[in-house]
Amino acid sequence: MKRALRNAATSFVLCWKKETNWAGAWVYLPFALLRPVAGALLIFVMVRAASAPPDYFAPAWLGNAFFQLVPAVLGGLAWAVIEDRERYQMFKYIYLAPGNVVPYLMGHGLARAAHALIGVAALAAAGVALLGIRTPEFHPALLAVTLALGLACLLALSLALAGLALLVARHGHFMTESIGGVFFLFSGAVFPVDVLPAWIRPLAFASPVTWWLELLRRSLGLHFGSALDGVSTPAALAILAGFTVFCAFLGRAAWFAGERKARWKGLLDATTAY
Amino acid sequence: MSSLRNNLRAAGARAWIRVVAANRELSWVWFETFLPALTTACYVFIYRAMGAAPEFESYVILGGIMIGFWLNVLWGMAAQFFWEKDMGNLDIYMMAPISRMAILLGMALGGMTGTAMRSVVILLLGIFAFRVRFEVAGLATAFGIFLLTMASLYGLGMMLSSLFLLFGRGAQRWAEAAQEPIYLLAGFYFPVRNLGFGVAAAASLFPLALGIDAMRQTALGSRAGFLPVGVEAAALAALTVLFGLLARTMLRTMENRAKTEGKLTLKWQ
Amino acid sequence: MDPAIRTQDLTRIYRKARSRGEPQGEFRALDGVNLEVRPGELFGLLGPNGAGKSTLIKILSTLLFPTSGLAQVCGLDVVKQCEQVRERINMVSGGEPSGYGLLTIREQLWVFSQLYGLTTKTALERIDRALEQYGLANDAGTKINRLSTGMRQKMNLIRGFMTNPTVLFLDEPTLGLDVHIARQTRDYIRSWMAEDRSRTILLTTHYMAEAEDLCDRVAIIHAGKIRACDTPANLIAAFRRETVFELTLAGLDGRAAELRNLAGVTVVRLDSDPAAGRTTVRLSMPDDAALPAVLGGIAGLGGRILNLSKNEVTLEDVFVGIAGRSFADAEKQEE
Repeated sequence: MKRALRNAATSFVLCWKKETNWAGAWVYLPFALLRPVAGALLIFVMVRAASAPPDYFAPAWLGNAFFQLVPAVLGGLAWAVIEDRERYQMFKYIYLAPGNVVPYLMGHGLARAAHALIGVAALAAAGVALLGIRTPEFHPALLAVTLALGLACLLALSLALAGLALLVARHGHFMTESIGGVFFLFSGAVFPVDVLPAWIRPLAFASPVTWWLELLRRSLGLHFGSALDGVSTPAALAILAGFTVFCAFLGRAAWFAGERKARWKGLLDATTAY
Repeated sequence: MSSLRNNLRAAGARAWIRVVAANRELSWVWFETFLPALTTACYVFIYRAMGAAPEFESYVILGGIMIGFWLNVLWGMAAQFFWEKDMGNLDIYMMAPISRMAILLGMALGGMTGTAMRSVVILLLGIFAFRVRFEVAGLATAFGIFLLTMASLYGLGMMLSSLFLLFGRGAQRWAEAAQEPIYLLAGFYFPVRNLGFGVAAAASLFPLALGIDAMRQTALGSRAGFLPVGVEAAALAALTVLFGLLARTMLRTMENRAKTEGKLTLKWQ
Repeated sequence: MDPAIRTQDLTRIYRKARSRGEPQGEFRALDGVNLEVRPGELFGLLGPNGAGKSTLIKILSTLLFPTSGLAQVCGLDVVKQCEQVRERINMVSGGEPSGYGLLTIREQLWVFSQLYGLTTKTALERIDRALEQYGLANDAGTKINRLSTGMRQKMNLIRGFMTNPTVLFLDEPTLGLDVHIARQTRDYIRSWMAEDRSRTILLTTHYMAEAEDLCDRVAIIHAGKIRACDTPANLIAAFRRETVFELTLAGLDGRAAELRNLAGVTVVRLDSDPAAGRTTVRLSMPDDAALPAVLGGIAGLGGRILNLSKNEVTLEDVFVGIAGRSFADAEKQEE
């Protein structure tokens, strides 16, 4: 356990350095904010272009802000596999070192989450300070529990994707970005799930991110569509917790399956090279 | 003449690598065609949630089609010099008696297979799932605008490749960070004039902003254009010439700087 | 006739990244290198890691600018006439993975032939002939990501040879290869040179025996400077006045390093095996008369002689005589 924690902590520092040490702080900070701010402004301009109703903006803005964590964490572990294996060609050494590679990958995932949190905080602050977003209520305990559960769930799913990344070529990073896009579509980040065609809606209910974002909005007293109105907050919390446990098993199983197959096929040190 | 023939040969060979290798490793088909189509659909649903007019949905589809070309320019061509450096191939290209632009052209053409498939899937999604209607009379003009847009876009990509040549990882990080800002400024999901005249005019330096706007006006009959189509086409032609010349100069300058600073073959930069 | 390669006062300085609170540093990779390689020569450049061999090859192959001085290939300036230089050269680096994993050997070589304007017919003829000569014909259809290190290096060498360059740069071509493939590689290099006497190869290596075996002339480079340049035979002859002994010792108990302090001798190589309690040392001295004093010194350290032999002078002895220490030592100091 102690070794695993040390592994994860070292990996966190390593990933943080890989993300940041190419530039000084004065270059890095605007860099870290550029992408989330521009993505949020995109929503802002769309709202203005289409003259959206006033009650749409606040939950969409904050939903988009929190969603920054999803692709970052979801792709974090897979990206660590791809980058260490293809680019630095170090994955094989990490893999064969005693003390499981999973804590190492988790460290990378957490570093990416920390990186994304800068954007989340900036967008939430900008929404409140500059765009006049008001949150009718604030339940800090619910917010904290929801954030923690969501993060655990995303890390577990990310582990599953890392297992898959072991088996695919370098463009595995498109895989993580694309799957982030799928969650963006099916989880009501910037539009209520009510808008989805009825036959697609069950997919949204089957996504833990949908429940995570719904609970985050409830912790701030925001309401976005009516599809989940029938579910009480404790019930929604239980559903998210259930998803987290399920994803933990899924992540573990998918990782070990991917690892076995990669080892069988000799892909642990493969490079795409084209 | 023989120099042109040699450069075309080199471009063909580099394109061939992409096509053959992509055919041998098919996992990209799923991740680069089907899933981006879903992301495009997401922006259609955003407009539906806002109760926007139907033409906004068609704007999104056209924008979604064009994003693939931008990604091909950025990641399939400009950033490729950086990847080649890490793979140990860049020095082979750099000491060969051919133009760097020929290699970049080959990368771009080779990447077109995937981009074309991605665009067709999004187009079909628009036509069959979201009932996007095109103005048949404007399609020929729209195609001409598309070709102009591509010419200037690839010129821009060649300029960017020079930055990857010198700055490596730093350039890659900035390119990643610039993804959403480019989506915003190019007006992939809304008419660019909504940015306000000043910002839209500045964004017009990015060829896709003008190209998509002109194509929306011609192929979709949009009346929310930023500038008249003729003006946008002329500006695109001017950008094509400008970026072509700048690309040539920047490639030479950045290569020389990289050779001075010892970064041309510096791996894991 | 122009020399195949000529450098004059060639210097390359790398700026080191600035650390916090420290001034910007400099690293002089090449320091006033003067070199002339004649057409048709197989010329070796010897030196330990970090001596400046690869920097010199990068400058000559148009991949790096010199900080000052002149570098010419076939009479053409590598800075001002790089386009013309590229028509005449090719380069192969050993130990470096290159190529596109999902292509086969034959496809890969065809792709690179297209960078030199070869028609497909000519390219494939040359590729097939080279694959045959170099024992890779049966693997022509194997994908690059399935190749062993040796096969990959063979493919890389063919890439360099198939464009028929006037000057070919081989940067440590046998690095990481087994004895058999390294020998095959040297044979292939020899036969390629024999096909056309106007061809020139500049080969870097830190394998002394390889340079002695292959090269018409060699230059010894150390810390960015050329320290000697002649045929291997002449370099060795110039050092024959030295006497070289190799001793196997026991009983030194951790004091092996003190052998370096023995007066009147140069330690060429020192291999210590503490587990077996043995040390092998190669010593160079002015003449046999110095031996008794050396043996006394060894006894003073508590060493017992298990074996003693008088050896022929080798290029390694020459290197140590010139650079003052062995390759291994020089590399350790670089680290």
